[in-house]
Amino acid sequence: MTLHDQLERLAERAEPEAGPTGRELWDRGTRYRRRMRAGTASIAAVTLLGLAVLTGVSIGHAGPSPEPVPADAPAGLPPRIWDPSPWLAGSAEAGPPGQVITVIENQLRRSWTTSTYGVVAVSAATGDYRFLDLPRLALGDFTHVALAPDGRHVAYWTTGSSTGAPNTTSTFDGLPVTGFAVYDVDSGEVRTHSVPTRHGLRPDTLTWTGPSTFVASYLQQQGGGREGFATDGETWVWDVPGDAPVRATEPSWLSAGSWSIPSSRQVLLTGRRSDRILDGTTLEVLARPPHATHLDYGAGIAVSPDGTRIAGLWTPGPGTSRSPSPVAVARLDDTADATRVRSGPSTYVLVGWTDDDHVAALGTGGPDGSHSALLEVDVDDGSSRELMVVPNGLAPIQWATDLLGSPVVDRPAPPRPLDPRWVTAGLATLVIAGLFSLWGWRRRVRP
Amino acid sequence: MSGPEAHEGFEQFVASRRAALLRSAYLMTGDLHDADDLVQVTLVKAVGAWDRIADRPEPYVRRILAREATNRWRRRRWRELPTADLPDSAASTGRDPDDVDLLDRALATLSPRQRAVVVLRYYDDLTERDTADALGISVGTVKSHARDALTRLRALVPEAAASLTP
Repeated sequence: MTLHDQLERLAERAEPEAGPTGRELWDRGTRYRRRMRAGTASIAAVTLLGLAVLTGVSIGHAGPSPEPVPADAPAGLPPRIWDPSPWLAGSAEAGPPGQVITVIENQLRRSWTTSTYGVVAVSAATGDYRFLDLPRLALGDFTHVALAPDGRHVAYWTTGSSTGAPNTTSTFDGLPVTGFAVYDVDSGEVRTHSVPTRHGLRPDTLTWTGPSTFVASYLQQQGGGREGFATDGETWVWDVPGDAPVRATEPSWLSAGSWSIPSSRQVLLTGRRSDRILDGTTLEVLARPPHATHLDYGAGIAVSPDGTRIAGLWTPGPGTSRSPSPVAVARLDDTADATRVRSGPSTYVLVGWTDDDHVAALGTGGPDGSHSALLEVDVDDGSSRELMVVPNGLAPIQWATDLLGSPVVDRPAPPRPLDPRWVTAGLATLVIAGLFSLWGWRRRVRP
Repeated sequence: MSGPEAHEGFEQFVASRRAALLRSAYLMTGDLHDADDLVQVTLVKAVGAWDRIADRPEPYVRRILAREATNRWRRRRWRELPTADLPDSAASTGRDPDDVDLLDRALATLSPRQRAVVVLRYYDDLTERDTADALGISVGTVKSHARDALTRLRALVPEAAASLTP
């Protein structure tokens, strides 16, 4: 007897019992199918709803895509500066920002795989925030970028390769500084000037001396690795309509303590006894005012647009500093007689002149002094008004000083995109949970 | 196929094939009540796909039956019987080697999938390919399950070993 025969004999024990008829089974099957479809549709609907909500929230946080801005769009001051999100779009993907009112340095910038620091620009026309994708931007313990007073260009130091052992003291990533570049915020064009260097450059002054002219001054590093000795200063003046900068023969080096005075197109060189006022384009010495005793040179110095007065923060004496401090003003022909502006607000940094009678300075704002703000101070009577709120502790901010007299225009808060890694993980979890629920439900439901 | 037509075709299929399905189900489960329930569940599930399978329902229905048989055992946390519970062989009991009780008890020691392979291959006479399709496994797995199952059956019913040829 074969296995088939034995199985057949065994199977003969299965005598049919009186069970449901074919019609009853059909009806049960129809109800079962309806229940399965309803359950499947419910789980799919809940899953899709979850996906839609999460996607919607993510898109809502990301904000609308920025529109291209005409180059001649009117500029305005935003009523406040916001702490930028590390997930803001970059100019490489969103396009150049157009005229810029503010740049914020040292901002955390994240991508799916990297975390670094970058420079955020705030559009003067729309208030839109975005990272500037500046090729070969050098990040280190120095001023990385300089915003032109008209907000049309950003100058910055660049990294590259040196002929000898690279000096790693200047930049965070260990690459040597090898030049400087200028970024056009309207076209996105970048022009770079590379300097032949054996070990790299030590950046010192990077400052605008006019709406289209900036000065870069540096020393040549004299050793690789962590060697800190640097000599052989060089100073270059770049009138950005021109293709290349021009090297200045005198002075050969502008220390980091030199101050630009964009509104008067001049440069102030500080000295122990007297200062020098240089022409912003030719760097010729225009005047040698005495060193102001009661001006804090470390907190910003600016000459009025008419070139008659100099403003800064008041200090009790030479070499001292007090913060916060009132604004002080002196006549350029007698800087030793700087006088504090009476009844003025407490300020931390002088930003520049907005016209011949007003300066802009960072100080405390609000009726109870609860927040930081950019203030406009009348240097004659000390009256002030709040131009914009600035978050406490925000990284170094630069303003387009020629635009500080623009009207304050209401601007929307910048987007705060969610971490796309979490969003993706959330979407994947929802899909998996939906599939798992579907699988579990279909197994559990019985005909 | 329209609604009433499909309905009628289904009822005809149930009337003609229910007994055969019940026998296969009994061999797969070893219990008449389980087998009857298995057949009912299989037919109810087949209703949802009847529009597609009405022309040739048998393979699809057998597939549901075989998979439901193995899945319901898995849901009941089926575990292979321990060695101590193995049935006595015919040699030790002196019983008739053709006694189907021995085969019944020996089948009970197989895993649900091995048992389904034995039933589909040697009772329903499906090919290895059709058996694999019915269970949703590979042909190689079918072969290994069949080999292991037959080895086990021969060990438990040695007197009937010669007869336990496919």
